[in-house]
Amino acid sequence: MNTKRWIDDASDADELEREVLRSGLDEGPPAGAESEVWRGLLTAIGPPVGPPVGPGGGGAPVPPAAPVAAGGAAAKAASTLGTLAKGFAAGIGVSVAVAGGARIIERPAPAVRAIPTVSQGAEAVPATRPAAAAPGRAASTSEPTAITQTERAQARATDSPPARAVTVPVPSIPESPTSALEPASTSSVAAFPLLEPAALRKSQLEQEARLLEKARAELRSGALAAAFATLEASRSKFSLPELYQEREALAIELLHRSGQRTAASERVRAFLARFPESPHAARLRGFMAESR
Amino acid sequence: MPEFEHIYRQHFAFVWRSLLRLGVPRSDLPDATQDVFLVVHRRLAEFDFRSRITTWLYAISLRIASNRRRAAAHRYEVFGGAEPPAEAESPHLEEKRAMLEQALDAMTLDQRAVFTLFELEGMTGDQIAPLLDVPTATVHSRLRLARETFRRVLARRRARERFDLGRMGERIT
Repeated sequence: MNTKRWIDDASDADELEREVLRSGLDEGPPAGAESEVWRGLLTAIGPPVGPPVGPGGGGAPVPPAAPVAAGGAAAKAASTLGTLAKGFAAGIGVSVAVAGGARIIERPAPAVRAIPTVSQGAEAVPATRPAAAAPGRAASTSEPTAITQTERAQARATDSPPARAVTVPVPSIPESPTSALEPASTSSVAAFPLLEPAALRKSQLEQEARLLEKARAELRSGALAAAFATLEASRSKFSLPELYQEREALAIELLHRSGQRTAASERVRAFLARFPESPHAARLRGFMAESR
Repeated sequence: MPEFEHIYRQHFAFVWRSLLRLGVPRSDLPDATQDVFLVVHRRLAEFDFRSRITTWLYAISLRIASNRRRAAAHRYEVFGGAEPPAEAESPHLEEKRAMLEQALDAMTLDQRAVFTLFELEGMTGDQIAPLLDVPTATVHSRLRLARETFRRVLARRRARERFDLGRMGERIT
């Protein structure tokens, strides 16, 4: 075989072939792309620890970690909205980066897919969203704020099958900050993403990402009750979350850190059955291994 | 984390370029690049640095591109096909890039990987083989097939342009 590159002069290629090939030589990332992706990464994996590395590779300087982490989710959310819109319109999975550990893949395609080990309600992941939350969810979101966390946990146990079989240790962080079955709905109401204004969805995604960042920071700082409250707020506010995997991963981590290892393991199993390729999978498996 | 950031800074452009050449749409490149580096971050502890980091990065990029290609295929099914590339009369840079993309899109992902690594990254068959975990002979056969595709797509395009010009001439006269 002639292994001379066609792109070179005096190769077997003709002039146009060479020119076409050469047109692909200088296609590098546009200015700002390196910093933008880095901000998204920081949002997903947390700010760097230790001295920062200089731009070196030719990109723009990295802003200080904390502000980046705080603003990263919104920036990333905004930057991925085009992708989101395309994904929704096509009924395929969409990806978003948010706080707390990795990337999220919501609403896997195709629209309805059977997944063992979780109840049928969770198996049917709709490509479309109902116009209103399911009745059970609506009831839970209208809980009075004065209710204690323990009461809330007990109430939650009645609508969360995986958590029901778990004995709650004392002291306990309420065992089901989010339901593993949360986004499940088989409603055939018109496609929500296509009807909802893009600006509204962008705003919602940013708010959701901010709440999860807050929960993550609280969780990592050991403020478990605060993390629980924040996750609850997220659950109440976003009954059909864009960032479901992220929220569930944080909820599982909360369970684990609060000593509810069995409950955490059950939730991990359900999570992995549903999202085996999730970027959270490795970390969650670690929780399960520690529980053995 | 500093080590991760160092890898990111050193190889961001390489990953970006690789994904582009593997057919990831430009609008998806930030997300796809982030996907690659999330994998790097998660698995960095497993990397032993005995092999070249670019080999590892390219393998991850290839997987990400492959996944996205499948998702794109699903999307096209929904909408009934991709938009045909725009035709232009004068072969300026953008048009040549469009021609290149059209030719690359006509290749399988494996052929595309070999073709772009060889022709655009300037790598040899022996360098590409471990990168793709295939024998060097396979690299050469894929390159041959990819070149045939490249040449065929350009020839077809030129024929179409000549045909269009002929029709234009008929209208003028």
